[in-house]
Amino acid sequence: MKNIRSGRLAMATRTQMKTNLLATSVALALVQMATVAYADSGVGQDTTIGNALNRQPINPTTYGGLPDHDNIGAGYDNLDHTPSGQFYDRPLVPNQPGGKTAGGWEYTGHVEAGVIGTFGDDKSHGFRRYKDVDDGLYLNNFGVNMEKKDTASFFEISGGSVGQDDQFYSAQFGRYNDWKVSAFYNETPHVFTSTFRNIYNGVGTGNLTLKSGLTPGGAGGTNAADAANVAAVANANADTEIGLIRKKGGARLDMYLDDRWKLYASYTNEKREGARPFGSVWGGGGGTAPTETLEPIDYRTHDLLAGLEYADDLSAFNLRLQASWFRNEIDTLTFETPYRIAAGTTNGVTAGNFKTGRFDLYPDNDYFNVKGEYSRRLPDFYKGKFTATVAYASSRQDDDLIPYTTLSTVNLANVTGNNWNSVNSLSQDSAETRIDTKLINLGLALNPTNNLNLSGKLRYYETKNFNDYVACNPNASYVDNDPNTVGNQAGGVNALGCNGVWGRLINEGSGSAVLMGANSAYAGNLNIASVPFDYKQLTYGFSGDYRLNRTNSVNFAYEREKFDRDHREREKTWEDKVKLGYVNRGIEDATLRLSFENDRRRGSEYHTHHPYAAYYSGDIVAMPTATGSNVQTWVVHMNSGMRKFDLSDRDQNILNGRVNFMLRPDLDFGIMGQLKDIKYPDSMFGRTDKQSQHSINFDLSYQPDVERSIYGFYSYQVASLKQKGNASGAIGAGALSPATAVLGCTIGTVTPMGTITADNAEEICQSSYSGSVWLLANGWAVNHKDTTNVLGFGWKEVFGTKTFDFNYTYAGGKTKIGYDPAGGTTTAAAALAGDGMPDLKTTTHIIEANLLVPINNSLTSRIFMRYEIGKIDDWHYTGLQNTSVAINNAAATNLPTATVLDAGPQDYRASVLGILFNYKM
Amino acid sequence: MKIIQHSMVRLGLFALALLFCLAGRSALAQQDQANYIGEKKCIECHKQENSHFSHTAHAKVFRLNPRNENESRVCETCHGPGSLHAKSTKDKNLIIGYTKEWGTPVEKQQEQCLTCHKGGNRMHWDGSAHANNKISCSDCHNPMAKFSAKGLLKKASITETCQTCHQQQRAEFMKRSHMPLPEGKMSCEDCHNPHGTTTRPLLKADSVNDICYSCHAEKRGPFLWEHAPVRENCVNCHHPHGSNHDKLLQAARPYLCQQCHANTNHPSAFYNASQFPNAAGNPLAGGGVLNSRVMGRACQNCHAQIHGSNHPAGARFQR
Repeated sequence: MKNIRSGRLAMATRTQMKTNLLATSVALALVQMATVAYADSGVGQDTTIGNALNRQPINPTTYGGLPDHDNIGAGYDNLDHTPSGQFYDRPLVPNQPGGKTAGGWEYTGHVEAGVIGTFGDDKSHGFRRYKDVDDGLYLNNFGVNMEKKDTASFFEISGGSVGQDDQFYSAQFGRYNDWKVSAFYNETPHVFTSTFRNIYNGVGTGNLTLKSGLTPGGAGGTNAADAANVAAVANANADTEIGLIRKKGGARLDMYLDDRWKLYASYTNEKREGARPFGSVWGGGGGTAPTETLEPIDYRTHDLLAGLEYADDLSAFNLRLQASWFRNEIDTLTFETPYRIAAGTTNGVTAGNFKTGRFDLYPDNDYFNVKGEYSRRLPDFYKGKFTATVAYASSRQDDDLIPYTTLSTVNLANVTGNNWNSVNSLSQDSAETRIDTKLINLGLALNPTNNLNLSGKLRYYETKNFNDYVACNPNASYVDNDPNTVGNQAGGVNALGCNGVWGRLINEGSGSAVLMGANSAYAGNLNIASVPFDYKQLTYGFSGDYRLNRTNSVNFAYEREKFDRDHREREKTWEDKVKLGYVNRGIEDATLRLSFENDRRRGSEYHTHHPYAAYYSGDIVAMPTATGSNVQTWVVHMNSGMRKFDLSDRDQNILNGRVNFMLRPDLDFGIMGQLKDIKYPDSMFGRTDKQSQHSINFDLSYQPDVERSIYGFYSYQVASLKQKGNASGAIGAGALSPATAVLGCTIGTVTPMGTITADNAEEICQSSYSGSVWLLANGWAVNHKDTTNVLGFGWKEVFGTKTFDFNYTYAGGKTKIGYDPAGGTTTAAAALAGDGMPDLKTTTHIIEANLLVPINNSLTSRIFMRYEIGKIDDWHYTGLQNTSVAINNAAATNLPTATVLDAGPQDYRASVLGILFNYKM
Repeated sequence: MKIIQHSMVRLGLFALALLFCLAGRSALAQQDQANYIGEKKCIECHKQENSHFSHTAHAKVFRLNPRNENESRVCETCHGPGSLHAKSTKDKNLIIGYTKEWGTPVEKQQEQCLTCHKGGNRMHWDGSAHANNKISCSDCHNPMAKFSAKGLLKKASITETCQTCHQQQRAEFMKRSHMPLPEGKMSCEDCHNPHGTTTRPLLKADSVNDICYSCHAEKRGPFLWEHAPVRENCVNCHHPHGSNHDKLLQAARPYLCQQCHANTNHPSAFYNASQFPNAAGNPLAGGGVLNSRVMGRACQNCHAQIHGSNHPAGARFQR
């Protein structure tokens, strides 16, 4: 097992190292705490601190305690329920203070540590994904609570999994109701795969070089030999774990300035390190030797937050300032290719010269947000309340750009001054991108009578994208001066504020999409500028809630949501949402909640080409109009029957029901269900027809006495989705249907929709009904059916002073994908394709058990086990478990169809066993 | 005709709602006025309650450093004046209780909590999804004992508390790919503010993407080349809680991508089970033709920078 994540150690030295790690980690964590934050329900993340073996944040007050026989209080009913009718837990007997210092601090504390062992497939991705357990000494958790009553001071610290990659620490101190400093440090591992067949040196860095046995640019023999070399090196380096670790710490100050004013400020610092599986490809049109690479992760994010809050009996005010700085410590990823890549439409490079490719990785970015919120009660105006929120935010990045290629020899036939390996080939040196957002939210709530609440709201949200990048090489010009193609090309094409060569080199120059770059021919579908996507969202509506009596209420809401988007297929969409709800808290011992929502989305005319036209070369070179001219690149962007699902007409009905029922004083039952039906009435391709998402959930909780509690739950979800597509091009020989050619998109061609002219070319050529580019006979349909079953139960029993608990969770997911093949599929392929993909299946079983046996008043032993079984079938990795290189012809003279180094998720069985000792101070 | 039918349905729903509103009657009980008697009097009967309550944040605040007269009333800060209750302990109208058994109206419970907890993170409680569904503060919180390390929750963790009602989401977090909630590294409150927000569904940011960027700051950009649905809403492609597919995706690739991309050539092609390799990496016998778009990460084998690219060549997200 090769492991690129930090903190991994060889088994032989693990135990010894752990002792050192433990001490070091505690020290590091304490140091970090001096500079770190803790969030609240309103802002910030990191709201919980723990890990897979400590899912509940450590509570030093009651950790390890037994349930209190007297419950919350003798004056209560034996078992109490929430207002909705769910059990309140029985409280644990609080731990007694361990003592009192000379300074008057009372303290309570514990530490739980021991030995654990892992067994089975404990290195598998499924087992390790978000947790880190190894053999050896294990400090599971600790917690100390201190309090000095005469000064109302407190101090609390907790932590766990010390020295592991999922370790966590939390601390807070201050004066009750006055000020508080809270701090945390938390590590989260994220394993992406444990079966990567690594062919690279330098994983986790910005420079991936090929391992011994492989040659950049190919070994000079045949492609088949190169592929065989890759397979051999890959197989020799199998089962490499690829993942990252998030290391985040922060500190936050909360302080009351007086009875009405409060301020808070926090800072967090997160470091992410590791790598994740990534792609790479060569060529112009895409698809040349796609080979898996590894993206390095070396991120640091600083988040600063400050807020001021005011509240009195009438008014409240919040001011929040937020700043975030993301920094990628690795700007680019350079990787060596083991294949012999040939140049496509460029010159100056022969096969084998492309030895390295380069990605520009996620750029540094800055984010700022200022938000003000104000509310005022209006006691004399129908007991109303007015609320207003205004926020302004800005995301910015201005990373230096890199040139198209590192190869100085790459050139284009029709271009002079080829400088593609220099930033002089770019219209600007840095990205200069910015998106600003504005939020305005107004709300008015009125209570005309004690039983009636009315409210109205208006929300406006806007994103404004200031990206005006153009793909223009201002320091190159065209050789061709053919007056029939475009004006005077000697100095380049002058448009959008740039005079130069338009378009871009692709994938280091192994391909190009440069206007008139390869010859004097020109096309209308080359990207010439970035599309500054942005939108405005306006939401307004009203709602009412009426209490029919003490326990019954009905509510009604209407809302219209309008989007006004720039550069999308549909400029405007609007959705009307009507919701009716009913709450009954008085049916015997039950609470019933029902709601029904009907949503209807429509929009302005749908265009598949117009929104982007200004960003393609067709905007700067006129479309030919002469008979016989092929105008496809000017008028065809997308099949006009496609309706992207976030823009399409949509009718949606959602029925929600929820019942909490106290079957007996010691037995709770809950059932919750949702039926969601979605229709896309205007979609020919894309998501079509009907989509559904249904779920039903059952909960049972049984607490017959303090010694015993049992729970169980079951969830079933089923979702279906239909989509259709239409393969472009001709139906070839040997296909199910007779061989049919497309008519093409040339001026003067006669189609079933009429003769193509310059004016109607877009309408005709984008339609499947014309047979111009798409043939209806090439249509295909895919049906997805996704089902999930989750089952769980648990049992906790107290035998005198001993406690035993057992928990089991089963989760099973299956996605069935059926299809009707496209007419273009050959008979043989259709037979092999069948009527669907193999089912995607995932199954997990998790069993956990604990036995707590007190040894004396201070010491308790805990024996625990966690056993996991995971099974997965994923057709994305079919045939790739044994070889990473897939080659599409028997002779293997071509480059590989794909090199998939990740062997994919695997079945596993693994367990953790441990004996821990809990010492209470 | 369809429009008329639809309008009629809406009108009917609206009329039904109004009917409910107009036909109802008020039945909220009015709590009699009583006097404050002090916590010592309360503890005379409620010793056991006090043994747990004393460990809570409320107890510490009220007893050790109250900021005002109301807070110094301790038990009566939340339960209201207790003089009449002390005289007639079984009359549930004489003291505010927070259990279903006690039956104090939810509105009264909320009003009592919001006396102190006004403003701040609860600015948008009125009209929120939880408020409209008559969720009481004490449906999630139990300040009578220290059940949780923080927040006076009814369960030991935020996630457990939320999942007592949100069982559907609990199941989603058990799927093949999921956020690390079951592993204790996140809670529901990392993304949601259950007390109400201006962004649905109770998100604690100005938009869906803003909340995602909180942890995935690298995807914030903006990038030189943007991908429209990515920039607008992460949920276009991802299930935020969990999915039976890789990377929390809404559907299996390449089909997910094809729900928007019907361009010529490979985006609109039909992908199927004849395109897998065999164990030797070659096409399946009998007519198979390999296709890199069904293997591994499918479309992202080539379009690796699908969230946006800062490379001048990255208009197709390949660099």
